[in-house]
Amino acid sequence: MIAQLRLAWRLQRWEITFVAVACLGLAAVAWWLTLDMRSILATCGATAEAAGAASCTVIYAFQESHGAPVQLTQMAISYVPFIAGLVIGVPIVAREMEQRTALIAWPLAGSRLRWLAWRSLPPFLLVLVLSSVVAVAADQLMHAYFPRSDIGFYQYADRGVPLVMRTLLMVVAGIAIGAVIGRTLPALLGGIGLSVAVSAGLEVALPHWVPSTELTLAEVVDAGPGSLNTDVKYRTPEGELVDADAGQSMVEAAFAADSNSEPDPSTMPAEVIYGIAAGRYDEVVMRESAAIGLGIVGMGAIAAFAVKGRRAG
Amino acid sequence: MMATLLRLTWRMQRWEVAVLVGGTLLLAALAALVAWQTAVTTARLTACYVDAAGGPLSPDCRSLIGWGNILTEAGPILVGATAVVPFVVGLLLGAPLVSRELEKRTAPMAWSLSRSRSRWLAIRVLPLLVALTVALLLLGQASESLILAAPSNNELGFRVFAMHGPLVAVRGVATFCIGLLVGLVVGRMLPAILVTGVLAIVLVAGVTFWRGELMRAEAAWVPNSGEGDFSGILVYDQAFLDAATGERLPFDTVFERYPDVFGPTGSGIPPGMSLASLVTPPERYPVFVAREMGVLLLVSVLAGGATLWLLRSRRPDLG
Repeated sequence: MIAQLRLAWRLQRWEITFVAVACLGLAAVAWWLTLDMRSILATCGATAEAAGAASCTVIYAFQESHGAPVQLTQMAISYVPFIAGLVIGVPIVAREMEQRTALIAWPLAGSRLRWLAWRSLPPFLLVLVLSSVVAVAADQLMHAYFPRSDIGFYQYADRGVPLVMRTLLMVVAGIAIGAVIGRTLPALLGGIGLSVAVSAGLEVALPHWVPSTELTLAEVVDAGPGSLNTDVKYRTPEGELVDADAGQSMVEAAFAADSNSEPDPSTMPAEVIYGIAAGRYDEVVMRESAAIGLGIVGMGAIAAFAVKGRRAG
Repeated sequence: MMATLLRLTWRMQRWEVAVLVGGTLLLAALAALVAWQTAVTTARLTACYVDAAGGPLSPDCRSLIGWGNILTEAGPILVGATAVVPFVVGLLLGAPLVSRELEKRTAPMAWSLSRSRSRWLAIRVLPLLVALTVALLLLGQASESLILAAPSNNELGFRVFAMHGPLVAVRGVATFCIGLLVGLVVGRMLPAILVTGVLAIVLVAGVTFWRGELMRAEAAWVPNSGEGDFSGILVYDQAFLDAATGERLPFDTVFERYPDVFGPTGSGIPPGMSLASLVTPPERYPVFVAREMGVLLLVSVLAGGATLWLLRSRRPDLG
């Protein structure tokens, strides 16, 4: 394994250095911001007992003082899965095919699949470690930014396990696309397109991993920014559920009927929000991770088939 | 001979040219289409409201509102993409151009077959540079049409800096030239792309910071002529102008001097005074665009010159 790690380093030292510096740098910035926000809270006496202090109880306690750096750091971290995944994954097979060194390496390895496994495993593990460091730092950053909230699905893809899973998926997808196309730059372009598709696809799929339910007021407002809202409906005083447009029309009609006074709330339709409560974060993460895991296996299979099916000449 | 060399350049880079230049042209066509449709839809909706004369709109007109909303949402996305595309295209076309040949070690043979290395570089670079410039100029122009066609916020100014016009192409050319130089120095494709990407970010951050500092330094006090007359413009400070003395008074001083004016029944403007804002005058916008274009063209020329000089002095056996 040491020999494989050394080989991976020799072949990809530029890429590994770039990804490592970027990941560790971002993690360091995220930790610094986290500790800074926590020290501010500590100095204002914001322990659980002192939760009543006005300056320490607002949800957006750090928006003014730390908002811009936190958002900038979070935005940079959101690109980590795609940049790290492609920069490390794409050249593993593509460059060896482009430079025709694969023709020598494959017979020497005995089996192409063994060669692929040994060439892919060290960078895969390296990215796993680096992305985990970033994911933990980003998670702590968000917890520090919303100190008294269940952050649930807020910045879901950009921290914690989802970030690590996305990074691993993109590494294997990069390897697969490099193996299929066989040239680094076209594979990189294809990988950028695939990144957009993966990002958009997972975002669209997110509300569907578990069924949405009617959220209580506490789940929507009191818990902070963490719930994943999927739909808004209105419940009429008779108990019938109507869609948002119909409900808003009824509210407008009630106000228009008597412009001099507020309508009686009991005659008005009530807003009903559907979604996934922040407390179900772990359940969603498990299901999504399982699906991404299948995606990783699928991409790995594509890479294996592509390497195995390539003509030796 | 020239046709053969051009064909060779195309064969070596058809993927990148097709995807990057083709993608840019596609984006330009899409922006032009949205601009045209936005103008047509806005005119038709205006006619609808005139015909309705305050009454309900016809079903056709109501369906136009939905289409208009789609166009209004698409506009800022396309204009925003115009700011990013030059860097992506310049980076992915420029950085691999020389580095790939060095990495594959085909450069030494190509140099020995060519009359001179400069000629070899020119044949590789010029067709791409022309294609890139034309595509980005078209994109910049299409984006400009899109900004002007928007129903609101449709002025060309600091709000849409580098999202329209020839500056889009100049940014792409500068990134391309930096990529060429980095590719030659690094000699490996993917590292060259990464280093150029970092340098492009540094360049953008640098010119943005420099522009911000210049805008602040050249800001002038301009009397407010009406409500919302500085919408979309960065206002650095505000004060009251005393018409009698010509003195500029800060808010705090005026608040203390005229407490009643700022009370619940006050007008908010003391007698004999008017509000003024410290802003970079909007008419200075073309100067800032020209300055940035000048700096970026200088960077391009320097990077191109350095590439040529390094290429001539590189040892053939090292590629």
